[in-house]
Amino acid sequence: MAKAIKLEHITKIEGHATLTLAVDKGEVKKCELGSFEGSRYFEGILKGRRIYEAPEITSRICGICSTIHYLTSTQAVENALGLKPTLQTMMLRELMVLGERIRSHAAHLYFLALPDYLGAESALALGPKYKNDVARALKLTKLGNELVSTVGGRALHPVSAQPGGMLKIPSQDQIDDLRRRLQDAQADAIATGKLFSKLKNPKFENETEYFSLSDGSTVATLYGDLVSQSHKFKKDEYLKYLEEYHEPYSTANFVLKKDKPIMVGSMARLNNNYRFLSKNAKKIVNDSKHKFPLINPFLNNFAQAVELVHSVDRAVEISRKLKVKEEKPVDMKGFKFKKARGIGVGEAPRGTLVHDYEVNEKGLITKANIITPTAYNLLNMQEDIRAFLPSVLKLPEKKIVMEIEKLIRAYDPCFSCSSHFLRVNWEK
Amino acid sequence: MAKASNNKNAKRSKPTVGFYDLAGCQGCVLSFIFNEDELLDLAGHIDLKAFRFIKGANDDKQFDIVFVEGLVATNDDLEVLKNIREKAKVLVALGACACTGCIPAYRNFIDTSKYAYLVYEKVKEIKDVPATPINEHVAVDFYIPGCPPDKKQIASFIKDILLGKNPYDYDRPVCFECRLNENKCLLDEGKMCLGPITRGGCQSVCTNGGLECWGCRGPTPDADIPLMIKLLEEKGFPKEHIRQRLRTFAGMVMEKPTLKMVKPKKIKKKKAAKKKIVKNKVVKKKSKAKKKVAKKVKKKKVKKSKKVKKSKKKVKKKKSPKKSVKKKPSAKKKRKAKPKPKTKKKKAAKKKPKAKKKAAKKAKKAKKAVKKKAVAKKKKVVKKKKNPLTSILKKKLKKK
Repeated sequence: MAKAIKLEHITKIEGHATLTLAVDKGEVKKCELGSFEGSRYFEGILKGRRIYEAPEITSRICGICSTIHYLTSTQAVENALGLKPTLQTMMLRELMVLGERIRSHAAHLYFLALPDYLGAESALALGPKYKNDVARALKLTKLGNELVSTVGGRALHPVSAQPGGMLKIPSQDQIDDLRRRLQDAQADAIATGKLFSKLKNPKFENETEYFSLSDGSTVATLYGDLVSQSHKFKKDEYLKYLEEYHEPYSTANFVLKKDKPIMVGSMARLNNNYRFLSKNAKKIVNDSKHKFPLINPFLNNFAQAVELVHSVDRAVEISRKLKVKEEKPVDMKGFKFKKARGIGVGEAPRGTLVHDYEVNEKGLITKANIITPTAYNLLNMQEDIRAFLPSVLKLPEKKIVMEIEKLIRAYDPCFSCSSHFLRVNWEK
Repeated sequence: MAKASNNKNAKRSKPTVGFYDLAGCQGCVLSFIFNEDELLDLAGHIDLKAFRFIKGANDDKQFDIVFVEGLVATNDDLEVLKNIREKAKVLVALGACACTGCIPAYRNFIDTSKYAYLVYEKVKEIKDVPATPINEHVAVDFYIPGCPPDKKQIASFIKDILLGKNPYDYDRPVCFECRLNENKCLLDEGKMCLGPITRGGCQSVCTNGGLECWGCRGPTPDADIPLMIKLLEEKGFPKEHIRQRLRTFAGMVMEKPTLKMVKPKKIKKKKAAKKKIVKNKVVKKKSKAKKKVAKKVKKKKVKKSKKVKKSKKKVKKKKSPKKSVKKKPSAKKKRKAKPKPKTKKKKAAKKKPKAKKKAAKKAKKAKKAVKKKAVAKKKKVVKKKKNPLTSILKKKLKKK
């Protein structure tokens, strides 16, 4: 029996995606996951702009990961201009990234993933039984937002980071206040961790290359080298290991590593960095039946919950250490530009993000390349669907679709991000 | 609250609402979700029929209100948009992409063929619809601008609709709120701040954080863009850089005055059929007021500077206790350059709180009153200057 499934407008993910499947006699003939998000040509838009304007522009690639786009871009600019941020700036930026991770994970876990596990169509339809869970989700989201807005000036598309420093530094009172609120939220984070360690996931394993930053002291945010099980390399060498290509059925780009699909995101990050988890986070892992390294992609949700606990703890730690003093960013007016190339790498909530700019002596961008997390994940997602499909083929079609959607959602994909550049027209 | 609960009792009046996203970053719908404290309450008062981002089951039959995020970048987007317009009684453009085109529409100002191959080398064929804000294709009833839009504004918009009120439309420049927040003027610090011509209502969030305004909420109805360009040129910014900035968030509106964010004609026609929401009145009132202003303003050009002086005098009269305020602006009055009234006023406002910290509350009240007048005066002055310069600039832009 030949069967064709076309899944359009996959819901509860960032951006727009379609999946085309064709199955014949239990064999998957066709499995194409693509994005039909309108192209927005960010790399083209950057060309000819002043390099210090790049963070403001690239932040608009994605709403939910705006902070990491903003900061990775800032890092790339700093790298190109030969600027080094101070320790305080680095700590403040890490706080911003953690804030974004908290809000993004909380929003994804409770609003996008949890309804799947509980068989509801949305978090708002969960009913009174889960009222506390939804309230907890909103509390954590709010905390993350406040972390970003206190340090970055605005919750979505922050404004305060600037090449070489921060435009505005929060007061010590604000930091102390944040620390208190973070400590207060630790219990909520732990409750989230427990909730997601108990949920049932389909049995499915498909090992791949897990790829992330690692800085050797904590679960990476903005600093460190790129690592996977078998590789370790500096961020400047990323093009030696990664290759971008394009499929005609999608407006998104695909990335692979030496002909092999790779996975990025929370699970990959923890697989590479689980030694550095905070005490509370380690306890959640030890109390659960899951063990690192994780190889079931559905467990990315669990990894996010663990990471949420860690992020809150880590933010408490930083805010405790942080004794803010006044520092001024570098003034770009009258800055002497040189022809150079700058690369910035960061860990978005949903995976590794690369910004790569070339700048001329006038300070104008001549070439820009941005690789977003979902671009890495797309191929792996597709391969996972291909491998997962036979195990659910006996179910009715509606159920198959639901199961596949769950798998896609577990990756927390962001199609707005992945198709920031081109739309290709194809003939059917 | 009382009114809200009344509304709740009347179950029939729960409006059906949809959130749709075209090409964009999803930041605008997130802005709505990030109303953490009010989200559940709000969701309880509306019938949320479609919200692809957080809902699995999405109905698309009939809506009272539809919020549309993002801009039209593909044929699919256009199809979806037209479809929504047919089904929605009220269509709201949510965020900068929908209102003004935002950064994605910047590509209209660059030559696609020159960079397309650089962006992706292996792709030879590219077909796209020009990136355009949604009011290029369908009639839009309300605009909630900003990149991202202020989350409180979205919440208050829904509340206003629930209460049968006209949603509040803020059209004062960003400078107004920036002064109230007691920020230093970034123009004075040598930054390319577009605050004076940009629609406020954002609580001046960027300038609070130290970043100059990039104009994401689009120009105010009476923005004098050529004058702004002239001011920035005087400050030493290259013209090409200024143009890039103006085009970044609201290029489509800044460059083509015909593409103003408010399209009263179309709205009026559609509105006639609708019962509850009466934006017409507001529009009419505004236009009447503008006509009056215009009549008054139709006098000789020489009076510009006098008018500015008059406004300053009024400031003095009302605020007799503040001597510092009197002195400083009067000293600057002597200079006659056109753009200066704006910055002068800002400086005057800035120095007030420093002079009298104890009477801070009184000062704030007084400040508000003064600023309203100052802004009104500013509008008048700006109106007069607008026409000759804009036409010149338009010609120049066309040439280039």
